[in-house]
Amino acid sequence: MSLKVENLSVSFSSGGHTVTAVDHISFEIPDKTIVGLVGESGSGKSVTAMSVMQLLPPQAVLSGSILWKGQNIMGLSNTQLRSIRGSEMGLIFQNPLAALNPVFSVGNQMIETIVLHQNVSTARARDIAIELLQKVQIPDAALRLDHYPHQFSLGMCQRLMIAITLSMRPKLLIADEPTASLDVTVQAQILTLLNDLKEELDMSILLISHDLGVIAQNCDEMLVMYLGKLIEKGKPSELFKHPMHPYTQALIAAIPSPFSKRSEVTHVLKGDIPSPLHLPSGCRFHPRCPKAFALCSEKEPRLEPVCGREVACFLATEATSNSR
Amino acid sequence: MNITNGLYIKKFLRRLIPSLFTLLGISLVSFMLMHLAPGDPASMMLDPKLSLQDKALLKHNLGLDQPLWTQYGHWLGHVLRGQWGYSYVSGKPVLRAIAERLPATMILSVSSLTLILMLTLPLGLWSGYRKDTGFDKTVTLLSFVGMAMPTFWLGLVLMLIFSLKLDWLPTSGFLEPGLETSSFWEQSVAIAQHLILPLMTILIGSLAGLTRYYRFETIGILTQDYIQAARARGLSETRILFKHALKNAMLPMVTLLGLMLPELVSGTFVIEYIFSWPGMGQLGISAVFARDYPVLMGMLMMSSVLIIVGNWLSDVAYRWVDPRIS
Repeated sequence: MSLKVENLSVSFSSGGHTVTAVDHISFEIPDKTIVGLVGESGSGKSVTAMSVMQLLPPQAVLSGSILWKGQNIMGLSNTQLRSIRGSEMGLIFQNPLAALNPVFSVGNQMIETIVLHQNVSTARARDIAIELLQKVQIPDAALRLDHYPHQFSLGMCQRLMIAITLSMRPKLLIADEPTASLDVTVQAQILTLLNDLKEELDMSILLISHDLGVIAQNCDEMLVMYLGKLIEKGKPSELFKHPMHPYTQALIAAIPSPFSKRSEVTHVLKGDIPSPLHLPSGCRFHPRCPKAFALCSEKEPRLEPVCGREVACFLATEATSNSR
Repeated sequence: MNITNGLYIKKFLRRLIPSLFTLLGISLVSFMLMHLAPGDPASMMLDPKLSLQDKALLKHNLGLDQPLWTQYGHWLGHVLRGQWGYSYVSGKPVLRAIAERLPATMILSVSSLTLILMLTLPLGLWSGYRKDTGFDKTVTLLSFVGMAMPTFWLGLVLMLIFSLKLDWLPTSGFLEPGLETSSFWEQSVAIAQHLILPLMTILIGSLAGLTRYYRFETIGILTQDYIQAARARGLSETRILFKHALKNAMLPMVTLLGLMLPELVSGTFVIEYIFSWPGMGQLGISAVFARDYPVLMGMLMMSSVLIIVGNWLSDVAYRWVDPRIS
């Protein structure tokens, strides 16, 4: 087991208010697996990713534990974390252009990383960088190395980010919406690239996306988040066939199908995701849930094992306990 | 090669020609305003007891009795031939009067600017990095206190402490009268001693601005994805701050430096006045009081040229430091 997150909570306080972005979530990422994390914007996906790398701003208050190879890395200083960041865990961002420093050439940033992690000379690092660029299919690699980030397309920038991350040979790659800013065709190329590299390097990947299609095609395990809570987790194939939590059901029903008529798309959730400043009582989803009943607004359902997966919904747990 | 050279010349001309028109406009407006302002050089130069005829004669000799347009044409014609005229007060050629004052001002301005840049950048970067800590709050407080103290008062207080009470440094002046013929080394030491107090006065007053500016820049830069990405790659905090954040924070400095170029030669009146520093500020203010038109026009035109050149240089330099601008 490479990564184990236990009871992770993250809150931010601003202007006297405390907002809990992630609330007591636990999950594991075994070796060589791809775990998908889905949810709407504001559900706490990115905050979860950033807390695994301990990259949240100083005003974030974290609790719980993040075990990397058995060691709790929660609360370690930036200096202590340097031995883990990069060489053990890599991170790629939603906006690859913003993740590259605009005033240094791509080569400069790659070489600096390679020299740090592989302990080689600058000249050797340059050769390694060229090889990596070829590996992520950037044409004219030797020439492109001296170009600046703004001279690349977004898809190219994401390849560059992947190349930089790969130079560190991390065991876990955290990909925070890696394809959200890309064209669909480029998206497919990047995901194929990630899958190939995962096989080659024996990595695990935490793939964060709001795109259920991306998750379904690539992940071994999937986690669904709503307002900072994990509400369902299990194998994507099963979750897609029989979503148990009404929120998962709604997410899956909302995927547009090329065969459905416009009038048939009725599975749209009521309202917006509530403000995390005023969380609903009981189950956080009940104000938008089509199947809510009295208990939902009073008591918060816990994430409990149901038929080989875990669900946080009274309907799911009740149905199974009745059938027993 | 020839093609690129030709391109550069074309670009240069495209920049130069409008600048010449700008300079012409500046000279015309300032010439007119200066002459339309009340007071005239003749009454400033002469003993009040002299007769009106003598005054009229002097005005005639200086050409001040002619219509303004004629006077301007006359001035412009001479300037185009490289003749900037003579000071009404000292009788020296304008360019020589300026050249005599330039070194003192440059010594003060270049050393103060260098120190300001060397101190504010690390102070601002570190304050931004350690936002809201004791260090940041101390820097903020002290820099504001420095900014809040009026220059003339601060100069006098420093003089009182370091010259009168402690007797460490000379109160004012540039070079003692006896030292004109002594060695270069002795002169440099004497000038350096005189330089310390005015330099301190300038520094205390002007550290706040740029420090606050760099602090603000740094805070903004540190929230950028590329800083998080650098951290995620395991780079050291020193490298993140002094390589990745520093270069981005320095970009606007190029523009600031371009804007500061004219300040380097124009001098500061208050400082030069308090410390009897024989620089351009002193020359300028005495020229204003004496309505010394040729000297004033000379100084104005020099500043204007430097403003234009400074702007142009900062554009060129920006292109050089920021790869996104080509």
